[in-house]
Amino acid sequence: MPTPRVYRTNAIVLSRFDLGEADRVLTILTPDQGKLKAVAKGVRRPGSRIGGSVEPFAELELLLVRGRTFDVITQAAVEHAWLALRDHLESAATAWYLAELAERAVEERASAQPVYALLRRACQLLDDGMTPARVARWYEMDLADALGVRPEVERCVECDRPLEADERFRWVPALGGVLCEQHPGPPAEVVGMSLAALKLLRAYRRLDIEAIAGLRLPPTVEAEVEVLLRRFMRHALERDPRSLTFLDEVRARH
Amino acid sequence: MLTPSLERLIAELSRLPGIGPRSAQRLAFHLLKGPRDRPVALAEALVQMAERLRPCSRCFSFAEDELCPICADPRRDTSLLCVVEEPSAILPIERTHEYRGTYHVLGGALSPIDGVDPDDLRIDELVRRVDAEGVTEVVLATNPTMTGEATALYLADLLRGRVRLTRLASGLPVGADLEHADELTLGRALLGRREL
Repeated sequence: MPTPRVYRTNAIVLSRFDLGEADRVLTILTPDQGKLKAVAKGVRRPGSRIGGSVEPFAELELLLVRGRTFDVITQAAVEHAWLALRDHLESAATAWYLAELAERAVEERASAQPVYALLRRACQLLDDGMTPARVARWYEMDLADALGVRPEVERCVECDRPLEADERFRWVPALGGVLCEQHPGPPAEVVGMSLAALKLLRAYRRLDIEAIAGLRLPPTVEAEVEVLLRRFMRHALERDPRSLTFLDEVRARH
Repeated sequence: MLTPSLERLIAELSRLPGIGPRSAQRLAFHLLKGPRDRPVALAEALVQMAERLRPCSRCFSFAEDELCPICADPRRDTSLLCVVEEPSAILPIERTHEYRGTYHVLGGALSPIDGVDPDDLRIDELVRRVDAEGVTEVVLATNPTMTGEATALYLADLLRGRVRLTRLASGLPVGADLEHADELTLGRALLGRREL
């Protein structure tokens, strides 16, 4: 069956750059076609009917026409605006980080239903005022799951033995999770971790974000898990996201 | 087919934003058709601009001397400082005739996903100006985009407690029909509604 020239899709704008005098090229995440680039013509002019809509971190319903280089957005309606997310700097900086992870993780023109649902929910949670760092950790864990690289936190990644509470654990992103004390692991990639951090990682794997949001956690353990999951994401996506520098600076100031 | 000088002109014109090879060719032939002094005047204007223009040492807009015409104007209210992303934003604000303060050009907006961080913008210079020039109000006139809003929030965090901070209002364009407004703009307009 021939591909229709005009199509409709839900989308979240991940990033954008200016093109020519008044156009913008948007990188959008869609459920069925993954990541794709589309041009929004004339949107930088104040009179544009869709200019206000095609900003990052809003769920849109778009009508697009297939083009040679980029598809062209002809209509846009906002499904969810998530306005509160934009008024809080740490939430906005976190949303950028999450969007960059999605952009790195998803292929162009390939179905991305789980990642789309994940980013959509993360934006909603940030908009609802949930602690941005917890949303980010939950998102990292679930994104790894969606990519098929879910960290192993129940058993040793080397011998498959269940991890015991009274032993030493090591975090090895290159091997996909936690290593028990009986195996040395690759020296440069082994990071020591506490039992409390292991328990929190398990909570992120087993519990929904609403349950995690209610937990009272020592800041040191949250900080440890942040380091561990960032290392994991860096390994999975093969480099550090650029938006982390800004996110860290914003958090250091609050 | 074309002479080397004409080819060079077309190549240079096609490097301008929104000008493809065909438009560049059309512009070049248009210049050739008119009186001989017109392309010469254009070339002189370009050379003069390239030689004379430099950033204003105070606001980082365009200047031909140490200061731009706005910073050099003694009638300007230096207690009022308007922060914009690029020099091109100054002109539309000036055309309103509603603003008599000075400006500060950041040189862009924060865009973490593109690697544009606070260090890449003229934020330190802004803070120094606020402290040194007796500024009482900073108008955050970055674009009403995600990057512009984040920049405004970042600057507001940085300057809070030192000066009065204001942000350009967001909402419906004058003369527009409500039914054609997009949800984000209308949402902003509702949040920023004012009492009559």
